[in-house]
Amino acid sequence: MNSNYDSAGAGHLEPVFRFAGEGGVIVEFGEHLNLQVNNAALAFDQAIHDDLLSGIIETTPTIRSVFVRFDPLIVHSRDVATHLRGVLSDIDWLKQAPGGQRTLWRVPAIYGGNYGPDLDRVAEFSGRSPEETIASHVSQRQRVLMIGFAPGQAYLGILDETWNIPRLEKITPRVETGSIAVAIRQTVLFPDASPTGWSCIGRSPFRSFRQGSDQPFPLKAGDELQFVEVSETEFTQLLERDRKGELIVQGSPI
Amino acid sequence: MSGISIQSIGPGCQIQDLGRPGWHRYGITEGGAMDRLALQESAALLGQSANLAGLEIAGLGGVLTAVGGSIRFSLTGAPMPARIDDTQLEWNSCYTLHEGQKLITGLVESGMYSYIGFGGGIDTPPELGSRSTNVRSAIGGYQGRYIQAGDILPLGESAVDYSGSRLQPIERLGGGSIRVVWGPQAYLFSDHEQQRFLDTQYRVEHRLNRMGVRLESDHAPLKASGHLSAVSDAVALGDIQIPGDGYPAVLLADHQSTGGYPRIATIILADMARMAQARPETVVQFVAVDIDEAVSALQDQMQVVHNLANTLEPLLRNPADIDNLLSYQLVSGFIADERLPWEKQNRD
Repeated sequence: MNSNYDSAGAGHLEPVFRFAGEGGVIVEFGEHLNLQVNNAALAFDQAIHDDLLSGIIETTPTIRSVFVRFDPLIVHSRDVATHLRGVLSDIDWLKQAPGGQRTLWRVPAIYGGNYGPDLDRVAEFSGRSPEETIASHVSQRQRVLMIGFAPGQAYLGILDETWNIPRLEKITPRVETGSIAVAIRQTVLFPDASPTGWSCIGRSPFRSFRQGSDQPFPLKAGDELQFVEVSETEFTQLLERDRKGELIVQGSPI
Repeated sequence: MSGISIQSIGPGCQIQDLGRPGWHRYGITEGGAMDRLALQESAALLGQSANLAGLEIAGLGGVLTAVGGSIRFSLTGAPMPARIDDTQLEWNSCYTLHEGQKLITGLVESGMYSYIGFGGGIDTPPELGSRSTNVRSAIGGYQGRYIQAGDILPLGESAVDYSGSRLQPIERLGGGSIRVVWGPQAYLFSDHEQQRFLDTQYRVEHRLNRMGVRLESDHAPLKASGHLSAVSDAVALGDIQIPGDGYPAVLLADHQSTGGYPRIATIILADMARMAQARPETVVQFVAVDIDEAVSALQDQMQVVHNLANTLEPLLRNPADIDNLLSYQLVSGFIADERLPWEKQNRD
């Protein structure tokens, strides 16, 4: 099976530094999709902010790395790298839990039918019924591995081995706002209509980019998320409330 | 309060300033003007901050009028024919537009992106810290969209009231040598492939937008010799990705925040405006430099930028001050065809 999931995990791994222009450094913690690698990236990201070097403009944690962008007129990339190595020290970053304040979100979702046209195919792939597939998806607490590609677009994981579905050869031209799509043991929650090579199994009335609100991005990397199945009636009501600007997802501190 | 009224405008006109840093972790990249130097030049001409918002025009201008009083404006970036009523204007200059007059701009003559700056800047409500427009996500600008005929854009208060200057633009149209530092996945390309990358004269393709440009060449595609993780990474402005077909994709202002293709090199910040202004068919060739040279180039450029205001020269005459204008060479109307210039090649 074609998998980019690395189950090897653990052990002390030396993070790799890469340069992205004269104003960017990327610190990589691993090559593959791995919760411990993601732990390390998120913890490192938090540690950078606990001791923020002057000249750093922003940091972006991803599934497996942290991208540090800085003003090269203020600080040189080799000094940034030196500073970051200091932050890393000798800690075994593969054992770190994500730092900072984290939230568990309960996010409503409706599965199958027009909302999730690929549910049946995904169910068949994993050799079970659509109902069992939904049950499997809502039973797993997923980590927000990163936000990327589009404003508020959340990559969630890591789902169990039954969800190791390859990305599609043929791109679906459009899935709707709130679409819940799966591939390679991850879920993506789309904040906007988008083309995708992932399999669309459902939809949430929650838009993860709450444009114009004072909390435009409730989800952040390191948070956790649990989908909660709702009926079509509930979906419609929640959708209306969301689009009127209400925060329809509940968050509790982890 | 004054403003500008859009009587007509080509497609691809949007409000831009220097962008919104700090949201990359939420999937929004900095964006802002494709040619940031044009905003710097505008600022020098108008005597104000470079982060005030102006209009970025992609290929075809239009007709603007002033409302609520005279307005000062600048013309920088890719040059277009421009006039106030029947009087031709110079590019890289600033003027005053009075109520009742029309500012008319035409088809871009060279380069890609033209900028009209305004005294006081365009005063639309900022979103996520900036007035820059991201049309794809409908963020910022004027209602998150392209500017259209009928729009009336308010301008901010201007601290100064002079106009009638010109400056020598920082040379950057016409492509040519683009300096890069080796990218985060340069290690995936053999020495031989890296050298081929530098030896190749690439042409800007017609497939381009604010997110990026594709390049083509007559040479064989580049091949990565190692396997890249299928897990996406954060990408940076100026990154040169090598997708499956082996020809470069250069990431520009509105690039996505993450990507999965190997990045062989990253364009240095000092050369980003030159890359962004390279129109289709323009030839570019990459030159590898180290980080110290990249920083040095940026420092030198910033010195030039900071000194721009000291280099202003008066225009021979400011047409706004002259009542009875003799006709110069008239632009006999501009072409109303809304297609971009390069889209009209080889047709009919």
